[in-house]
Amino acid sequence: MKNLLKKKGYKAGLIVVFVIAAFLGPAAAYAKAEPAKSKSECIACHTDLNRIIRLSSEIEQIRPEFRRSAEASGEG
Amino acid sequence: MAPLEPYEKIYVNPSFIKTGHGEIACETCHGGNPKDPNRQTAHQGIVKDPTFPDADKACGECHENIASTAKNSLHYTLAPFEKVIKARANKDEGILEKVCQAREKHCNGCHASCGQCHVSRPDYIEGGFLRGHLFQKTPCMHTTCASCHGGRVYSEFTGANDEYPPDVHYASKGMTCMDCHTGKEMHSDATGVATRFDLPERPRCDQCHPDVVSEKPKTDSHTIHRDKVACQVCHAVGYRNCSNCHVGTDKNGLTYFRSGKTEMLFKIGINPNQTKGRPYTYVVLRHPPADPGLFDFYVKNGLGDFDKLPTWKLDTPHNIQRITPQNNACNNCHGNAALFLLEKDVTDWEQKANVRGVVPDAKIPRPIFDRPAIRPDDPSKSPHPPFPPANATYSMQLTCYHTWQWRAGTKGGRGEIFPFEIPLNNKGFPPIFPRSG
Repeated sequence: MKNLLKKKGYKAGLIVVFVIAAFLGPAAAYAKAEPAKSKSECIACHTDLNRIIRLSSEIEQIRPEFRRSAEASGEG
Repeated sequence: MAPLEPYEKIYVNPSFIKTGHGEIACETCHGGNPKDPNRQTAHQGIVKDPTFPDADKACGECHENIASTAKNSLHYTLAPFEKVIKARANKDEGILEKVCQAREKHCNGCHASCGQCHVSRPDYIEGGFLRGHLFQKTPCMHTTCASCHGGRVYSEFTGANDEYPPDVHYASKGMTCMDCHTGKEMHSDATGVATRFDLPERPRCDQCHPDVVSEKPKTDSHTIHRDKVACQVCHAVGYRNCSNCHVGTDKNGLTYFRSGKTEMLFKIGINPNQTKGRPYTYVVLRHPPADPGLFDFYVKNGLGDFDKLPTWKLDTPHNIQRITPQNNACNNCHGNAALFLLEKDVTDWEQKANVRGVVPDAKIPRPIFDRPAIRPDDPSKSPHPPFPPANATYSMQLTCYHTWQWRAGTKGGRGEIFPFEIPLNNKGFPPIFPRSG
């Protein structure tokens, strides 16, 4: 083992592996976060303009109309 | 203000996802199930406005300092409403309870939360995202402020009241509500504050116009009137006054407000509550929609102590002008009783409530002409031509702060005006002209 570590090529290899791992770690975490976002049905629906227009007009038709009392009066 | 299309109310701009707030998962603030593709079940337990009633819950996680005070701000609690109504309420426990219920039902719906200013329009006008759920550090006054303050203040400020000009800060300088009403004021703790005018963080004219309250103001009128007259008395114009308000619930369970006619008036009254910050004798008074029968639908004589507070209340109309009808000549205000709140302006049932605000005859400033006439001994020696004709009858009058006028002409005629500027002495008179007695 001692002989193995003394070899220059082996040491350099270890350093390269360590550096790559250090960069890959956060990148992998980031890659995980992205799918989580895209999997959100909230985001998928509420950012899709065509879909939200269609859905909101459908909802508007079945939603009870916002009513104000006919007895309300005045300028204030 | 244009109403929003239904989709505009709920469409999230994709760029929101790239913002700091977009990094937070939707369900963290709003609840619901983000993995459920079914619209109805996904929205179960959804919280439309996660910032109300608890500002700490959503916003306070990151904006702890702001949320900790904002939750007690005027917009959140409407605390002065409660104080005013309790002061006027019948103290019988059973009646008071009904009054408080009615207040909760009709008055407390006008609050605003963090979200209702920075993310969506207020609930009062059915909400809807301001800009695709992109958080607005400084909201747009035309949508956010106008939603609730559109009836009086916003209309005054933008000149929407016929024949009354917009506020000079808006029309000439392009200022918005938030230029004076900063975040510091909006988010400040209003616990214990009796009215919005008592908030220490409220805007003050002298913050931008320090000369007015300096030891030697540049303008004589400010030297003369400082500490006696509120800024708005000289620099505001007519504003909307309400006459009454009654609330109730109709047969369909819908709440309603009934108010009487509104009237554009300008009334100067006696400051009913002189303080160190507001030491003026004269202030502008406005009639809000106050009426002893406000809650009659729910309980009779609910406001049994109605007279405890005035119905003509201290106000600061938001239509400031440099020159106004009352300040463009001394005698437009001095001796002009029509500008002042007189006993005859107050209805019978309000007399007792407004005893302190009504201006008695003795408190109406005397016309400047009441002073001894000012006449030059020898006009030809005056260094300020033009002079009136030698054969004219003439008088001098102070019209504006630095300008004196000759009014000269034949007896019975309209005369002719010869304006010129002249330095005044420390008594406010031209030093070269002796006062005649």
